[in-house]
Amino acid sequence: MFPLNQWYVAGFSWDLRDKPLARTLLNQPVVLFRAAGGRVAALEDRCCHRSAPLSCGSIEERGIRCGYHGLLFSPGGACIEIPGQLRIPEGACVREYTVEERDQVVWIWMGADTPTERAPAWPWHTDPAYGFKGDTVHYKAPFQLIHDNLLDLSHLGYVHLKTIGGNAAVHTSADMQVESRGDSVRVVRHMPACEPPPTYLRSNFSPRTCTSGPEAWTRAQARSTTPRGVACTCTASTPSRRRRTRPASTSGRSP
Amino acid sequence: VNRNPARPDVVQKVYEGSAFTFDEDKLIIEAQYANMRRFPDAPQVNIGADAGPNRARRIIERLTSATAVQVG
Repeated sequence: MFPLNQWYVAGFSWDLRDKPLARTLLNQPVVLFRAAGGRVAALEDRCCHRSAPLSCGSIEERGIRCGYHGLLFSPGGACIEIPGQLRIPEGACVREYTVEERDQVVWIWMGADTPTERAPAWPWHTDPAYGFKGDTVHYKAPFQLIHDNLLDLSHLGYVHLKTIGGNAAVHTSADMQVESRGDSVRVVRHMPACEPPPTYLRSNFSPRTCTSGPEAWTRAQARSTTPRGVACTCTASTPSRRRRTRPASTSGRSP
Repeated sequence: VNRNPARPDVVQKVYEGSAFTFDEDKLIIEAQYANMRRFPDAPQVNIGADAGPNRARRIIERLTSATAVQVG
């Protein structure tokens, strides 16, 4: 069971090039493909003839062709060609899902209701002031466990010792505020005077900056999430001694 | 924002660090789920760190039942 009338992330723009993409979304088999003109289409991944997955087929100028008997479906899901016959039976179509590609994210709407708003903007992906690169991780676990993980950053001191974690006591005792805003939850944590984690040392700071004393950093984290399963992370580390002159030395976000 | 133009490799370094971080999560979450299936009826206790996750679970339960009512 999932909240259905929501936008969900189905993939990223670079996932859709010249081949159909099979994804199971909210337990439903979906085929995504980039149709002629660049528009992204999403259909139920089942040919209405004998149920072969359309994702085993191929993309053509007019739509997606089933790889079994060659039925051709438009991006809207209508069967528009059956090789060897002129007549197309009534009801020869597959379910179409509403899709919106925005800021490099391909969003899908799987509910019965019509979307009441556009898919969310994710402007950091296209804003040249931000560096952006992304990827996909598949977990053999229910979404709820991943949600839990993203909203609870106390685990950083145990799970992420080699990357974004550090002293477990600092992480578990961080000042934490939990707020709800509509259907979103926001968790804010502050960790004054902590050591910068290994990822930060490797990534963000010049060696000269790091010699200013790794023990004297202030770290702030905000995690928020929505029912559609999008978690936004904002982190900032500030050298405590320089705080007045250089309020934020780095920040980053990831979906 | 890359405020350190002298380090154009920052995006790649952050990307690699993030990928490694997600792999660390994947390891423990998949082990957690495998164990939940070995102990399907075992009760779980809450700790203070669960405040955010539990609030999110309640929101999703509310929205899930709202959809079910509309469909049913």
